[in-house]
Amino acid sequence: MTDQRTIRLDWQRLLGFDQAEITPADLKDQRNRTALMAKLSSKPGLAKAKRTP
Amino acid sequence: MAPATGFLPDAERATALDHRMRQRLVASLAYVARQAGEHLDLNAVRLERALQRISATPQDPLVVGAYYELVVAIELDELDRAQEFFDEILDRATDAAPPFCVLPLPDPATSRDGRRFEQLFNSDADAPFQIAPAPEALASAMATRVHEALTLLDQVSPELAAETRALVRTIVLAACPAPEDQEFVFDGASAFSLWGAILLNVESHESRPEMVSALVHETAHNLLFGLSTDGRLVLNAPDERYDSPLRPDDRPMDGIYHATFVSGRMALALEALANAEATALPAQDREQARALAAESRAAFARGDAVVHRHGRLSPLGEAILDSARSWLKKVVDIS
Repeated sequence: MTDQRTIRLDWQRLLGFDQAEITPADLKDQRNRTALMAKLSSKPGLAKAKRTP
Repeated sequence: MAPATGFLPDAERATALDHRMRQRLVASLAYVARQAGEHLDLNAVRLERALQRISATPQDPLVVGAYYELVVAIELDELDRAQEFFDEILDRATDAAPPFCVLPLPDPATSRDGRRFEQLFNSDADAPFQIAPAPEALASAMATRVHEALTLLDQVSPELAAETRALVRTIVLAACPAPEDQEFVFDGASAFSLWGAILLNVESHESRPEMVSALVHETAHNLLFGLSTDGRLVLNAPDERYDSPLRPDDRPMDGIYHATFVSGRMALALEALANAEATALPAQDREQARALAAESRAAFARGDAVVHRHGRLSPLGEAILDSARSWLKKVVDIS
């Protein structure tokens, strides 16, 4: 696939992007994007929801 | 100079980490502006003024959030959106540090800020959760509890309180809609891409020890973000998953590392509460703090065992966790 990006960025020069080289296709899905960059993924404190029986 | 890796709170270090984060943001924004060339309309005078302001003065966490939206828009070749985000950064960059604020989540359906908070706080790929604006009465009661908890922290651990105020500028209060229909309910959240902001659930953290613990927990995530500005703490592949000491789902090693460190910091705060003067905290709260401190120490030990067995840490990551281990060991030896 031809890279259509108009502006090219070197990821090593971006704040916090020091892990994986990510493609534009990855970026279309935010969850895909953050799965590839654990450091930039948010850190939620989660509990299992309490379900009423 | 590399930042100190000590476990104990340090407001001066926190201020230096914020300064370093902003210098890296300025360098990156200047680079992005150069790369954008004629493809974005950037007024050189406004750009230079904004970069000087970001360099010199603490900023609203939404400035960092806008930067991440800018980068993604450029990578997706959405240049109209990139222009909007760059304009927003230039508009928002301030020469007066924004005051500490506790605010209800603006409605993501109608507010740009609300949508950004919602998206960036909720970017954990493994466990998406629901965030919604909180009912006004609950948000107001929670804001009161947050301010009381900070006042209490001032009394029992001034160092931790000062560090918290140096790292956290914005506390966003939100609710989980229809929690009975969700798999996961959030207690709180932090994100590198919202440096200086934390999210808290208005329906959690009811007691004073729980409230203080939640504040210290989220602040500790921000401390790790600041310490890792120039490199990773954890070298494991992001698709590996391990038992979490704090969450019911398996997590990447970066998440385990964070959970372990923040458990140590929660133990530190809760020990201070448990040992508070009777005039500062009722006996019932001190008892709860003692029990929660024991739980946090146990969570630290569980997480540390997973990190020890499976973690591949950078030298920085190792040094930070070693310092936490030393403190926890001292506390266990004394008690």
